[in-house]
Amino acid sequence: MTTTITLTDGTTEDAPVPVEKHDDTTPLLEIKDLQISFTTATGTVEAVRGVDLTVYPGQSVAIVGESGSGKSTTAHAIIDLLPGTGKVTGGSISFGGRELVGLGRKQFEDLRGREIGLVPQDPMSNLNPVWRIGAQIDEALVANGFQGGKAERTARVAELLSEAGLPDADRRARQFPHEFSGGMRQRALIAIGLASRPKLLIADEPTSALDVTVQKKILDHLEGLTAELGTAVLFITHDLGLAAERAEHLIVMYKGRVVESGPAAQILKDPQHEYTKRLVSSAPSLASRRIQSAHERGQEADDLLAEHADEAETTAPDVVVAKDLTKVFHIRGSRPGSHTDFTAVDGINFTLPKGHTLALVGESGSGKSTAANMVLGLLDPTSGTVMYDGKDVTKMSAKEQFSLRRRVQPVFQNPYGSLDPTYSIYRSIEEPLVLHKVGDRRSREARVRELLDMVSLPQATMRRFPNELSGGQRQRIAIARALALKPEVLVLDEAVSALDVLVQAQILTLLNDLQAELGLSFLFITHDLAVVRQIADLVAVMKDGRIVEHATTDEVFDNPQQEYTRDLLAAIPGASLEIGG
Amino acid sequence: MLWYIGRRLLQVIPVFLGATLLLYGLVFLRPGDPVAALGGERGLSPAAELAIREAYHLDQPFLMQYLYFLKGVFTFDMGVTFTGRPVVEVIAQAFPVTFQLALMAIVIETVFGIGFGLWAGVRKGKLFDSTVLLWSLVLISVPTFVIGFVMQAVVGVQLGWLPITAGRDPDFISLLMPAIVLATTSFAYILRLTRTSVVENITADFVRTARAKGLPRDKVMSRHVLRNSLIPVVTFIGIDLGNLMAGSIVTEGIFNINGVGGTLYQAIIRGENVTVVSLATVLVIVYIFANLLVDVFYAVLDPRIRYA
Repeated sequence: MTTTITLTDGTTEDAPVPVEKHDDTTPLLEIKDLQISFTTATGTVEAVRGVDLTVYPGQSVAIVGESGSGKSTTAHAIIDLLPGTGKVTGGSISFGGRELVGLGRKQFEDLRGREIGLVPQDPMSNLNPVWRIGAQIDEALVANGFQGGKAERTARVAELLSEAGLPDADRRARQFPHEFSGGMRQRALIAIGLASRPKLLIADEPTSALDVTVQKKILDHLEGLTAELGTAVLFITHDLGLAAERAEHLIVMYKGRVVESGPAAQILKDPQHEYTKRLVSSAPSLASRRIQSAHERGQEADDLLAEHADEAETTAPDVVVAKDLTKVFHIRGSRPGSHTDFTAVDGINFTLPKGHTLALVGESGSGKSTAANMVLGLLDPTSGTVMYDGKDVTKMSAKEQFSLRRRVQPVFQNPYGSLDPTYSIYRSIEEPLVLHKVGDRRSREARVRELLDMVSLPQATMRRFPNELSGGQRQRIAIARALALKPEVLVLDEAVSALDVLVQAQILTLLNDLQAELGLSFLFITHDLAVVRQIADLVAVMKDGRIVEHATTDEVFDNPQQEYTRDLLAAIPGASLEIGG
Repeated sequence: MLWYIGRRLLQVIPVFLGATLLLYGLVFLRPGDPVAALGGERGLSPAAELAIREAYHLDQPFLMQYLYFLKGVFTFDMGVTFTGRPVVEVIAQAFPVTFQLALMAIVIETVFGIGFGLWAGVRKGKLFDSTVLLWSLVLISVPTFVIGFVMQAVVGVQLGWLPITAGRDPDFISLLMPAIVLATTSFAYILRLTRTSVVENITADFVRTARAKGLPRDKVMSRHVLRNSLIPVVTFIGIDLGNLMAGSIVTEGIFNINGVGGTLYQAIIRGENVTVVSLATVLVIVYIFANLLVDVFYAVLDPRIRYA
């Protein structure tokens, strides 16, 4: 297995490109014509329609696809953990020569953990909060017939944890999940998955909830570990860059079918299927240019670039200026009266020029969302100021702050959580207009229709409810709602992070068009540098509450000044890959 | 944690003072003159009336009466009732039987509520689940006294399985039917709470992870589904302990039990302010400790909760 694949003009001498080398061995896992369907109130939904898949011993295979493509469903069917009404309705899954479809509960219980391990997706919800980490690994040992008493098991648990890359494993085993960071929890889950030395490890989006630098470390570690143990790995991921970097063989799924399958390098270089082509071209980790919306309107891209660069430095007035912005949180201690101060944002300065996009980039805990909340006026700064059009927000009266809300609007990360499920789409978009007493019933309806047009949704959408819409559609609604009051600034807090790549690309294009059309300024909060490249003019990199680098996007990407920025850039999955064609 | 318990115990003092003052104020404001009522149709002689008023400090202003009461509480001498029995003795006589009744009810509602709720949650949408849900709704909507009378008529009279009333110094068997009646409403709530909790937890990611580890089904159920589902249930049971102590007035009336409920009711009717306030005060303290117990137990069940 290789850590990085370098493919430049087909020269591969010093980059060991994985080859399909398993012709003589028998497959470990062989899925043939697998059909899975779910029964819903409205009928049967076929989630997986005729999937073929082969994993050889020790091989790493990745299934790539967007949410709803059936990739996780396929993986869960292997160990009979389909959620809800899911059922295998046809085809075969054979593991080590043994047919799995139709096995009984007991037989699956024996298989799970011992033969096939699982590293699940979300480290925050996959550990039981009420049991110690050690106990949760220990029970896996007991269930899978570990020979040895309590003391041996305790020693083994510590061994497994340190093997997964957790230092100080003895103490860590006695802690609870809430005392672990996301990365540490994921390591504990890897320890659980590998506890009984399975022949196959299913890694279901194992790091998509983690920061890129943590993700890289954990994947490197997992890769080394499984190579050492000779474990075959089935990756499930939405990230093409990550899949290509980590797996020898790629399987691209779309709407329940395998649309393309082959060696990773070959698929990236020469995608055959239409969907794969789109996926390759819009994978954010592989894209390298800012989206040029105005280009379509007949402007020369070069002119625009020059114009942008000029404006960023000279002409455009600054619409938001943050000066020495600081936020200190008091955290109550265990003793009465005792407390510690936590500085979330530590004297940061940034400016957002009118009509431009400033990206605040950083890992979780870097203070970027706290900074955004202060700009939105949702949090009061401990010291420092936020100037809006030359006026200090913190010194405004309640009335002025209320009218400021009209001009600065947020779009949040989770399109499922930020829309009230009991409000119709019409009501959701109309609400800010009602609150600010804009227009009468009729003009508000006209405005809602106009807004839906703006975000490219049919006007009939307004009679529907959030649960009837997809994630991308909901995020469009959230953007429409934010635009309702004709704001000048949008604060986009991880606004595209929860979306699939193709949808993400669409939303980014939409945002860019709206910016050009309406002269909006964006404060774009994200952990994803790949997205930054596509949308931002200026970048401020945050670490531990401070801005460590503040420059134009091109400068940051082409010539990063700080070690930390370079680490972030290097950790983007697929950063070392180049795509042909 | 010790800090937390200490602080909570200190909180008992203001709660006790506030609650007794409030209670005392309420009974004081009550219309009617208990001393005059004592005399009935005939009336008391002015001398006897004056003597009684002086003996019970009824001639003093409100705040003085309250302070006399407090003094009584701290010296365990809360005075005597109008019939001459010391109030302390009344409390000592009424509480044990009510406490036994409440405890039996708690055990019944917990065991059956959690059991039925777990089974219904696991078999969500099946016949057992829908049946149990419907019946729990019926139990919640029907008043306790109806359930009491129906049980007396069916189990007591027609089938003759259990004694119809408890009477003086009841034993375990004669308290069984009252305890069941007392437990019904809470049983239905616990059942529904457990069911909801189980339904929610059974689809939790960590349960799937537990299954993926290769844990057998009963281990997954007991260690991951049930254990996590108990957290909200325990809160309910703790608060219910207080409710059962105080709320057994109706049940005690139906089954002729001389517990806190009956005694309190009689004292209110007779206007024995000191007895009313004393009994209610003990109930307040029971409430406070039941809640403290719940909070401590809560932290044991859910390690994420740390009191500071």
